[in-house]
Amino acid sequence: MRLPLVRGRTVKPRAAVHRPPYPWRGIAAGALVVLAAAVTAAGVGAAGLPPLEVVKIAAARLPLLDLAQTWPDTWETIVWQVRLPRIALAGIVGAALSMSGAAYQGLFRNPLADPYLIGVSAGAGLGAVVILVAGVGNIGMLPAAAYVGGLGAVSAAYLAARRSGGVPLTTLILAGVAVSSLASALTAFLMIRSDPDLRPVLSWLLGGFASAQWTHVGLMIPYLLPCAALILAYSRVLNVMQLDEEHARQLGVNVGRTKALLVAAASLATAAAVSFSGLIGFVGLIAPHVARMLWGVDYRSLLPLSMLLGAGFLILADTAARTAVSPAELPVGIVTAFCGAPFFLYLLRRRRVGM
Amino acid sequence: MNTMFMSLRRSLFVRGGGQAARLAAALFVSAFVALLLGCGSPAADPTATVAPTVVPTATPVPTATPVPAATPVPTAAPTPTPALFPFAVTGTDGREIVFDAPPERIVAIDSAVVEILFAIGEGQRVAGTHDFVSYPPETEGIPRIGDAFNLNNEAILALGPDLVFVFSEGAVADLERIRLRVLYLQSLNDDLRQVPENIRLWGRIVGNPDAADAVASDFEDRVARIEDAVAAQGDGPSVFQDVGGLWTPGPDTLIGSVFDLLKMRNIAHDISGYAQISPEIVVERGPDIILASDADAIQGNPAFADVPAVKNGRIFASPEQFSVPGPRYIDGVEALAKWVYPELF
Repeated sequence: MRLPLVRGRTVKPRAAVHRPPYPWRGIAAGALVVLAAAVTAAGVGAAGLPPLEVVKIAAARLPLLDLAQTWPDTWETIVWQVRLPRIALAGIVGAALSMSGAAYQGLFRNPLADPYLIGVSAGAGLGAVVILVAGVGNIGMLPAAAYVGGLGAVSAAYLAARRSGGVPLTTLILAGVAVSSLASALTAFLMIRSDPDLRPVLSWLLGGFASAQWTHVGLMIPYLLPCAALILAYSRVLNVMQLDEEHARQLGVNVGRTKALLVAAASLATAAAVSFSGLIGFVGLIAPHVARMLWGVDYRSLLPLSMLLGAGFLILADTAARTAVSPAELPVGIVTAFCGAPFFLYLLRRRRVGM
Repeated sequence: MNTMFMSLRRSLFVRGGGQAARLAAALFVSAFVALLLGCGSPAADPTATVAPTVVPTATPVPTATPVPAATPVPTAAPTPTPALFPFAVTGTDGREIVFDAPPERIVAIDSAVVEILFAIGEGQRVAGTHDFVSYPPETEGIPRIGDAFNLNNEAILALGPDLVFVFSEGAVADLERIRLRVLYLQSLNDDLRQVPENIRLWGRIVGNPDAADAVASDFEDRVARIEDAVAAQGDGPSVFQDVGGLWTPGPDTLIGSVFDLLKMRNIAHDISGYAQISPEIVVERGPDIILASDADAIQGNPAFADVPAVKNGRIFASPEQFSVPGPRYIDGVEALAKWVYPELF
């Protein structure tokens, strides 16, 4: 078996012992992309603030600068309470979805695996709708409910697909599709049979960051950070597992437990993202693949690069969503598919690289 | 698929108010299912799930239809005055429907029409309606034939209606294929003054124009009284309506015409129909008054803390009457007028 490790260069298995150099440049480039996306996003919006003023308003809160406020209070609010929390949340959600997508793709050895495919999103949506429809609890409980739903869905798919010899991939994907359908049917049923005013539920499910607040960012971070730490710590295991589970077993990896642990972490990150942004497709699929095409399949770099690309991509997509038809907004999921899909096809054509 | 999704999303709010949300839910739900299936699996065919025609139209077996309890005998009805019929109505789709006698068994897939018929004392003609009709209370026992977007044609057929009324075009072809007489009129969505016109139209259709005229005139009188009361007012307060998730009506909507009547300045003047407005626009334009379905969502958002309406506690819970463009709509308008101008009413 020939392993494409870095940029089309193929290496014999024995040579895999030599680690490819860590792509610091790629990481730096990714970080720059995110920064550039954030600055651009802060500078434009439905309200006509001059971009330079936005920079001043944002910079005025830095401890060392002492800028007197020469702008109206509403501008201050627009920058600090509308745009910046929104950018932060979009970035975090993009990173979470991309990281989960990358993890699922490696774990299930399926290039199509993303939070949608194996039922996590639908399950998380169901969990959150139960909370919203029942009218109990508050927004802080959404991630937990979405998590229970998401993990429940992925576990159901996993258990249904399980055989004595392991989990056949096709069966898992099919089970995931079936569980997804069931979860969305239940969601639909709850929505039809419940209290009349479902608009908050509808807007939430359709996705978007229009109501993003710093509180949401604060609630999202405790879910994302431990998951990211865990998944990143398993980068090398993922490197082996994405190729061959048997090989991983021989290397002493407890495949069953590792899989369960990583699926749980990726599902928690997804569920938290879904609970604050609704269902946003495509990010979890496209960001890891672009990272793979540009910097190779080594999970030690693939994971952080996917997160950076996903963050930058979703920040820009949300910027387009809130400016394209201003003063109205578009659902961000439309933008992610509309811009992401053609770009992805272009990359596929150009590089002719599979997974 | 997402484009379809967006157009669905836009249409969710055309009907304007609270109960429309359930209709919206019904419509949305099929799109939602399609989204999940479609995104999840390249093999799944999204069109298969969104098709509004999942109802078993393929097997219209008229012989198997149960006989309706009251057989319609239009000729035996004593009510119609000869001068009133035949009466022709042109539907939104341009087709003319001629009534030779008042329809006796109407399946009305529209809350407003059900309310109108009951308000003019013709509620007994409503043979069936959709799941979300809840007013007046007498409607409770009326058979339901689906959730307004997914109709059970077999159930409609079983009711033996001599007229089916729909407010959206989607189901017309299917219903006609099973030999039902269908009237399609787009629901009112842009002008308050069309509500009384609609009441009169239904009065003509069911052969009771006098009762309809009384209800419609009362509606018009009350509109006129409000108009007089605010005539001396200059520009009223600026207003923003949040129907949920910052979705808001523009000037070309029914509620938009209410704002005009009350001389309120809609901050969403550059929105067409219903759309989700950018939160920064709400901050920038700072409305004096907010109509909200969920006041907590507005008050709890730190971005809106300095908006005059929030600072001064001027948040009005949208009354339920705003959801159905029927005779009760004017109650909602009066409640809003009283709240905005307590000194005038």
